[in-house]
Amino acid sequence: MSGRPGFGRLLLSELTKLYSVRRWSIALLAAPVLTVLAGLLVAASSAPGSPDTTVAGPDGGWVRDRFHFVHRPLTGDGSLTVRVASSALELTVPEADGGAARAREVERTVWAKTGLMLKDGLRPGARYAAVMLVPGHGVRLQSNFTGDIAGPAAGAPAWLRLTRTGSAIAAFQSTDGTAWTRVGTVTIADLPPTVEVGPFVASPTGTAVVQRQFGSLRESRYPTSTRAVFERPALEPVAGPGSGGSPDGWRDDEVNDEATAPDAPGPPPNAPADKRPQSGPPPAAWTGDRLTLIGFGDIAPRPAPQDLVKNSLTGTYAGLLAIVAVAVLFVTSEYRRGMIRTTFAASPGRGRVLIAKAAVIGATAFVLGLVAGAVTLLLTRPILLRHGYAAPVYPDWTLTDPVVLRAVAGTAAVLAATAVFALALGAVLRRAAGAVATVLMLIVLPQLLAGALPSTAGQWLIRLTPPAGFSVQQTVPRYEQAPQLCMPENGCVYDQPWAGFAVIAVYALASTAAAVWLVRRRDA
Amino acid sequence: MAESPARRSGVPIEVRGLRKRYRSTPAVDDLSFTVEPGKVTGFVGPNGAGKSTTMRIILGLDAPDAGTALVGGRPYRTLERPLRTVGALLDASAVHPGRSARNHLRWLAHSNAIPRRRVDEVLDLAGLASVGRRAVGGFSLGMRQRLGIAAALLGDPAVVIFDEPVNGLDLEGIQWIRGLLRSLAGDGRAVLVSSHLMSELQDSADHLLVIGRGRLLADTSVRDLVATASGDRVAVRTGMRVEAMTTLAGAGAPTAITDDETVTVSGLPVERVVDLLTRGGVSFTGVSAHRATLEEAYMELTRDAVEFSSGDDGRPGR
Repeated sequence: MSGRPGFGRLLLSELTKLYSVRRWSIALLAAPVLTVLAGLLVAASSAPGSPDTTVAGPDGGWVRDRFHFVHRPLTGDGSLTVRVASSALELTVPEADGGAARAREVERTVWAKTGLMLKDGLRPGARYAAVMLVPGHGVRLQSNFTGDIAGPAAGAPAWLRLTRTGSAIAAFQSTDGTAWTRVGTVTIADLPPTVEVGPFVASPTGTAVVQRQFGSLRESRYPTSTRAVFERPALEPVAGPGSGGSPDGWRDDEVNDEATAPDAPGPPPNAPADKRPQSGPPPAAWTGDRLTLIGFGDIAPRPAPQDLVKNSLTGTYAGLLAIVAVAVLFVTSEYRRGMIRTTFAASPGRGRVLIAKAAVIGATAFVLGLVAGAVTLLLTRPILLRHGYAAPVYPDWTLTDPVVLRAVAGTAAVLAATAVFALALGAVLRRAAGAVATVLMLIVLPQLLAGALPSTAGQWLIRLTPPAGFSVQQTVPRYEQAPQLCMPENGCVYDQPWAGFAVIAVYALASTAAAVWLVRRRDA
Repeated sequence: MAESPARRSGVPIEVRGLRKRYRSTPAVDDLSFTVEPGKVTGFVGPNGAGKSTTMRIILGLDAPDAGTALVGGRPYRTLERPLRTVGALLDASAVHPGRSARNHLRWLAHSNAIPRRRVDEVLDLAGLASVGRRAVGGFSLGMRQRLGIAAALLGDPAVVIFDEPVNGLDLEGIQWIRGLLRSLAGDGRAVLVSSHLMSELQDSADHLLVIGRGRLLADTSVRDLVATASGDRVAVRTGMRVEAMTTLAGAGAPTAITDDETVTVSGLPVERVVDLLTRGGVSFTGVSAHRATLEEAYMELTRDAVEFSSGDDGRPGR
């Protein structure tokens, strides 16, 4: 007699079991159908808001682009050097929201930017590269809204230098103006020969979670301003009079995506104050070669207000319930009727049997999830486009975009892991009712309870229970330099999409290990 | 059917010093026996005697507290393709009602790398060929028993274990089972079949294991069991009971007064009783011989072991 039949035989055996009960097949096929229908429902009833601006960056993404810029043209290669003497953030949090103590917490979410900018004109959304000091985040070389290179952990006072060589922009930092450290180099494609260069200041809005009555949470926003002092701005090659560090030849503008039509020129140089946007900062102030600049706003990618892919995949919850029910019954029905004895008499390697079962239900759930996700997104995309979800606020996407692929494959993986978890729990409890109720409670209850609990407890409840897995459906990119609050109220469980999958994967592995151990140990 | 190596290797079933308790109730208590090839071995005992427990231990499903159970010289759980060595029917209703008989046999065949054609062969053998594609939920208990037997024979095993296979079968089914048991033993297979009723086994079993309260009460052939029972009795109808008793007791046979007119004597053939009474001058109106049945022998053996009025093996929730 040849050796034990291979694991493949066991898989075939369990596959035959799963597909030969008609009710289970119907329930399994219902999973993608429910997912698609729910997705269509969500898409049909959704509408985009009307955003304040639709300024797009060089790559077509929606961006913020507001800062105070003192600049002059630079033609061809050259470099600009300046000393940042100081940079101070002003931020007020009302007493009702926690006052000064809360202000220090909010400060940490603010990437105030003080430094040197090289930009393709003053049009909001235009190409740029900039080296800057960001309190709490050191020296950064940022470009075209999404690029961000971390340099030394220095703060003001410090020397900064930006050098253009063709399309390559290099950034340097120095503590004494003599010994320079390279921060990095970026390539900005399609830069014209003449660009605007000079000191700039941007000061984004701070955000905080504020707890209101009855435990409801709200994201509060606090505008900030940053006052920076620059010394001895020096442009090489010297272009015209006053380039050695005087008000002459430097122009003072606020770039503001929210106030200016995309193609309109900035306010004329030295325009009277009443011609500036009303909410603009006070004009730049020169004292010899000392420049004091106050800035508002931010230069950063803007996240889409809705995650269209995640919303379209909402129906996965409905599909999940059908899969959980079949996964549990797949094992508990054998215990209920004593068929498990037939199974274990035919295959005495009980751990192998359980793992074969898990593999079969997991693979089935994965395939169903892939089909459900892909079909849902293919069907909802044209509906959403018709409803006015358009670039740049809502970038168009296709199934083959990496983030969309991740959302679809990740959804399938979450279904698979949850199915394995449900199966293992069924093997541990040996009762369908108990196992189904436990899994459903773990999926549904955290969503309901989180609101009633204190915010931190609520967040961890959601982070540590299976629904966290659905964070793989997030497709709106997150950037370190544009921090967003991550809280259940805005649908965020983890910043990292796969972190949530890791949670459900741990559930699946731990419960399978427990089930294998128990099944081997117990009488069948 | 192909000759399987297990048929030639060692003792088909060998149980030694088996003990098993469920909580405080001993289900099997120091049980030892062997099952021989080419014979039908009946495994009888009242409900709750430990028959099913013993079978589950042999099949590696329950772990004994002490002792060993070997199949073809090996513990069941070390068998590589167990269905090709041992076929078992434990519980005919242990099938999913939504699955067809054919699919039930197919997953079993896959798990032990048994060729697909065996599925149709055993369906045919069990008389289920015409209903193979129907869901088992619509089967009668008798049809389920046949399906369980088909499943047991799927791997053409050298050892066959049936737990109460006659339950729920009609007369025709019972006849079929008896013929099947005989033919399986005739192929040289070892057949262990349990029942709580001796009458179900007396025509088909060659050998008997009688079990009560988890202990082995008899391990014997059918003929010997009848002989070791209280033996043959002769009832004498007479008006002279005291004289009859004296005369018969003088011959060394145990006697008893059964009623006003009857004296019963054990261990003496009818001819000898008539001879003794005639010689002793005891008049009698009638003599009748009473031969002990297997059933009576069994009842006598298990009289003290009947413990549970219901339930099969003392294990709750079976």
